[in-house]
Amino acid sequence: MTSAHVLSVAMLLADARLPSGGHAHSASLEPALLGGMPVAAVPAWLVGRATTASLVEAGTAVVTARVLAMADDSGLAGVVGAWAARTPAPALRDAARLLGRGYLRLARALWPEMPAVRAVVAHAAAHGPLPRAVVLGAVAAATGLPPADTVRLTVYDDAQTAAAALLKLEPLDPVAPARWVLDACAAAEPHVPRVAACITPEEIPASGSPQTEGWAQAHALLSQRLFRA
Amino acid sequence: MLPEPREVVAEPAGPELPGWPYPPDQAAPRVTQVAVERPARPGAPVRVRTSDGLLAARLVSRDRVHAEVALVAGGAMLLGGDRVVVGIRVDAGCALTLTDVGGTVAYDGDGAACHWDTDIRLGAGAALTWAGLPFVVAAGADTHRATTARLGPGARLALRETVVLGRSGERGGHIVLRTDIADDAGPVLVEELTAAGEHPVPGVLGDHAVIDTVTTVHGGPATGSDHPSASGGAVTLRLERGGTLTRWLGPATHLSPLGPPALPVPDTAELSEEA
Repeated sequence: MTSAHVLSVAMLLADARLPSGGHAHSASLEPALLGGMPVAAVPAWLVGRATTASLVEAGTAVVTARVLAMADDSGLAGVVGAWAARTPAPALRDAARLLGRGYLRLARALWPEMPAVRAVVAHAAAHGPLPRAVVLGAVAAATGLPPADTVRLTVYDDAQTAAAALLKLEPLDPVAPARWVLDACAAAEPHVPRVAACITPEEIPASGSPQTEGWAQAHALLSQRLFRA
Repeated sequence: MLPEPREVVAEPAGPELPGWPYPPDQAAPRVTQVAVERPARPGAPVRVRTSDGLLAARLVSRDRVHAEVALVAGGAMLLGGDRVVVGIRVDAGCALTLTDVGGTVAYDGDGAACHWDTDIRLGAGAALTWAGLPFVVAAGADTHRATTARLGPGARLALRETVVLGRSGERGGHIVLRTDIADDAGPVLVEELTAAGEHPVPGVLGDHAVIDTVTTVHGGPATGSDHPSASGGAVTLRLERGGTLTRWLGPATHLSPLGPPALPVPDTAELSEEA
């Protein structure tokens, strides 16, 4: 049987209809709005995210794919450690691992024989849930998704997740956030070559966003929220 | 008032200190070094070696385990093109408390960047507490601050870093603030914050001028005593590998609920037993 084209794989992964649990997340948007950020700041916030938090995730996925392509399963722990050291907020680590679980379930069903997927399944079974970015990296390795496209996919998915959540939280013309998503992707574009070139865990971007991290922690303690994170 | 340094401490840091992070040709003249070494004989105070760069190091006090050293600006700083390099080494079982005597202003460098690099090496069971004073990034300044710490087994580290974007009435310049803390098992905290007073980014610092951070790493897995909490607007993040990062963002330093970091000073009896 012919495999699906890698672009089809990318579209599948970026599709909000993907049954991986992404609909329960707002990519930190609900925490930001509940934390007092005005809706008018969302476009600038999306651009900030696309050039900070999203790049940490993207670099993690890229390095995971490289480590797994070299059949270096033991390198996975190093990638997870680098990601965790770059993700100081426990609420964000927890959210990423929840998403990772959904992604892993999907990856295991779709590409069960691929060594990269088997490696993450075995790692998760032995050491606990893996963050989404690591599972995405395994899918990239399994399907041949190029590093630059892995970065773009991560940035897009993050921005689109927030944009979709915004429409559930605030009444506004649905066309507006579509523009903001593309603007965020454009802002990340100059960073794509650098992030796609990451080879070792040390090279993964460490761009932090303290305000988002603070909002995430406060949000995790709330009982009245629409999204998990 | 800063006590006069005692005579006995003026043991200049030799360029060939084992494990020193800088090659000898870079060691002079602008590298500030502080090294705390175990006493020469049981019962004697720790040895403290210092060398002065753009910052001068002055011994305040010492005993058999612990030394306190103050860092004093040697002149006008930071100007464009300046590079402050601080090397701190605390040997196994010793403890160092560093204090800043004054805050620092990074001035408009007229296009030239300035750097402040700190390299910290802690031996097994060593401790460093550094209560940093505010670092002000004036309008037009292009600053790069990097703190790298390598911790031996059981080493403990408590750092306060307060960065202020702009003097009063200014929005402030540009800063890249990098922190890289690791031990033998791998990275503990790696963070690179980029901010510019003229271009506030919601989610990064928003409109806040002050980012006040206390980082505490105590050489062990996360425990229940690291209460993740928010108090006075500060948020405490529990790091995956243990330790905490407590951070406050706000408009002015005097409003910050954070105080100087503290680590328990090791009991002098412990060292005597080991010696």
